[in-house]
Amino acid sequence: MRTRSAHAVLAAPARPRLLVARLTGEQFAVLLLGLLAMAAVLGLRGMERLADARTRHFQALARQAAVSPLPYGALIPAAGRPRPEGVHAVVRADAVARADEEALCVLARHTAASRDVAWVALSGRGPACAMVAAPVRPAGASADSLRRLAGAARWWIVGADGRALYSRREVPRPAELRRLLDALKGADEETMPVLAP
Amino acid sequence: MMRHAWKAAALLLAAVIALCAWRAVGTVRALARAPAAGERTGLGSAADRVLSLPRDHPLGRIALPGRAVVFAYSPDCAVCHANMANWIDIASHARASGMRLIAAAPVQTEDARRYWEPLGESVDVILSDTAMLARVLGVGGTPATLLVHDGVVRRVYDGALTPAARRQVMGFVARGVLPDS
Repeated sequence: MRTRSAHAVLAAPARPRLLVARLTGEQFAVLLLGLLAMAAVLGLRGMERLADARTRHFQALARQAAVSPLPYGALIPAAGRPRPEGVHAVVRADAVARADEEALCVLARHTAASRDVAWVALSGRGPACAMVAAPVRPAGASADSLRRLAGAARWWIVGADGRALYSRREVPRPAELRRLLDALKGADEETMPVLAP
Repeated sequence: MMRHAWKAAALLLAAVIALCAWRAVGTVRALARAPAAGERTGLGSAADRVLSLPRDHPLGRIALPGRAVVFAYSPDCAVCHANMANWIDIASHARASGMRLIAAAPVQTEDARRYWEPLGESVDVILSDTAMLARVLGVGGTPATLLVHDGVVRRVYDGALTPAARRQVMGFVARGVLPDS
């Protein structure tokens, strides 16, 4: 009796301690599929969130491009209105992207003789062709406050009362700048010289 | 019986994976289309609101025959200030095309009247009230830009004009082309 029971104990298969090892082939396949399905659902959720974020990013860029850097009517610090009176445009000669340097040089050439276009350099760096057009290099508190206010503005038009009428981030074409200046000065287009682009 | 249950579970999970893969294809397309979605931002809504106002009412000037662009603005609205450069752009182009430009404010204050002074006579300013603007033009807030043709509001752009919306308004100003709905 004792011998048989000892034999029975020896013959019983060893029960694996790991759960995975106790699974049948079918159960293991379902487990793998379950994990795969979970990963697929999580991956899809991540992709959907990424797509939403990317869409919102481009929508935000479009909304940002819709607004001008200087709000209409904002009082421009003295450093940003080098002409003492009258409606005039102010163009930043510095801090330009390399791709825009050529456009800035074209603008500098075309506005060299314009009395209602002034150039300012708020930092020392800029293309030489534009920097020579900027005899006004404001410094001090007024320049600091202009730098803060102007932000990404490349150019702006100042009204006779020293307030911002118009501003943009992009380098304008000479004809565009002239058209806007004329509109804001109320000048008759036929009598004002229109510069070639 | 248990074997069938495992097979059913496997089939169900495979279906979930297939569904995820199918939706992933759509999501990849949405990822690729994101820049285009940005391009469509702010393109406004098509409208066919017929303006019916007596000619002697100030807002009746909007309903005169021909094409007009209406700027709905408030003198104390920050987004209007930020959008003003777009309207000035439009006004500077309209000088050549002869398009009628009308600025309509929901308040009758001195600030509202002086808001357009830098553009001189090129913009016809109408001071009204909020309820009237909402009833006549269907404008719920400012800024808004409306394209009007022969007394019918054809397009409404709420908020600041995005580059795509600005191109559409410029097309209307320069060539009289109404954007496709």
